[in-house]
Amino acid sequence: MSKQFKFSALLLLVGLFVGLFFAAQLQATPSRLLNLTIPLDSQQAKSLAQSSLEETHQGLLLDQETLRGQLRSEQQATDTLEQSSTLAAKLSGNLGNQLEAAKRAAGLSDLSGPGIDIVLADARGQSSADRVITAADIRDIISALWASGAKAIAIGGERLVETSSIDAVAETILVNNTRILPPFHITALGDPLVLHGQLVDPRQLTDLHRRASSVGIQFDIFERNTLTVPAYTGNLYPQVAKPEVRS
Amino acid sequence: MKLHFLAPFSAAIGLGLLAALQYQLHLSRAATTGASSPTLLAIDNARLYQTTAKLRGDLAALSNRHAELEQITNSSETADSAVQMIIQNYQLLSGAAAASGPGVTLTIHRRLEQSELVDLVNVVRGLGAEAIAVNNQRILISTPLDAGRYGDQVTVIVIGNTQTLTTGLREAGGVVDELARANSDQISFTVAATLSVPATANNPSTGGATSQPG
Repeated sequence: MSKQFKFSALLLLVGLFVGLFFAAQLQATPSRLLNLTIPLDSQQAKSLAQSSLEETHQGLLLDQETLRGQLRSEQQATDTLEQSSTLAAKLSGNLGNQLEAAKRAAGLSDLSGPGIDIVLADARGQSSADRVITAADIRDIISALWASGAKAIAIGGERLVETSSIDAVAETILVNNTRILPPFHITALGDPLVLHGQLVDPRQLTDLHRRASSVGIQFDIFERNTLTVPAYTGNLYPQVAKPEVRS
Repeated sequence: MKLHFLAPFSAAIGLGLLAALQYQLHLSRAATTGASSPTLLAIDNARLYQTTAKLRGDLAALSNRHAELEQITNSSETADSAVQMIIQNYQLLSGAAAASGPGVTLTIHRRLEQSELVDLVNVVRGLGAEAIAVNNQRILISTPLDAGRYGDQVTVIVIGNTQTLTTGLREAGGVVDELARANSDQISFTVAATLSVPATANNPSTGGATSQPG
């Protein structure tokens, strides 16, 4: 091996080392730590922290289940009062019908009609980004459904209303702040042929179609003559917005 | 040192830097996408605390409305004005009526990608938006969003709790950061005590579908 080659190789190694050193130096944390915490370095401490988190988790899930039950019964009681003959007798003109129409438009009544059922599920096998159904996938489907004239939509039984959002926290999908577990069922009312046609159009939802054929995520669509989309359960009353007063 | 040694030496320093940065990026991506079980649980718990508080608020509001309705039903006076108020509130949320109230205005001085617009509207709904307009057109849950129609400047008006909206939208790594990308001049964000959002141009109907008895 020539002397010149050896020298070049040595320089290359030194250069690489210097580069790594600069990068490490740039990323280095300050020598004095702020906001010191006690490190969880023992296995026992880690396991304690985990079990405490799990206990909190279970407790919160239970609280939410109870609260949702209370919300459902409160909603039912309010609906019964709004539809009562006692209240109707105290209303003039067609105010009772107007109230029903306003509730229906806001998503506070069950709706039935023809439509489609969609089932979405992660691909089987080793977990990877392509194999998992994300909140963004569901948002894209919902967007396509509205664009093709859907009249009402529910995801996992959660009715989409003006305040609805579709989010993901950690590995969980939330609709109306309710945890939705896979397989995800989306129910949409509208013309079944049009809704179905839009979703299977290869120019739409291209990423979802690609993943359905390449990694096997489940994306099934069923046309139905009659479906029911449940009413929204929760408070659907503005907190800060007011009807605009026209001068 | 001769010039032909200097070139590979400098290249090697660059390569070393790149290798270290790539490794760092790989570690941070792994931490984001494959967070450990306790980390995921902690994130999940934080969100559960938030949603539990929201459910409690919803329950309190619904109980108040129930009590009000009971009072109206049992009183000897006409219920017209109280029911008209309820109708107005439902119409306000469903877009049949124009809305006004405190909120924020977000102006993006560039064309938005379709996914950016869908995600932005989803985020503001998640932050409790009560009325949304994009380029002065009311956006309802059923409005098909088409970023292509809004051109090179997109103005989003959101009526809602200004503190929640400001914190949620402006947090580090949040949607404003994402939209600003490298150029923060592309975004302007203002808070106002009173903003207006028009009613929808289309009649928000559920044509074709029929109501089920509650």
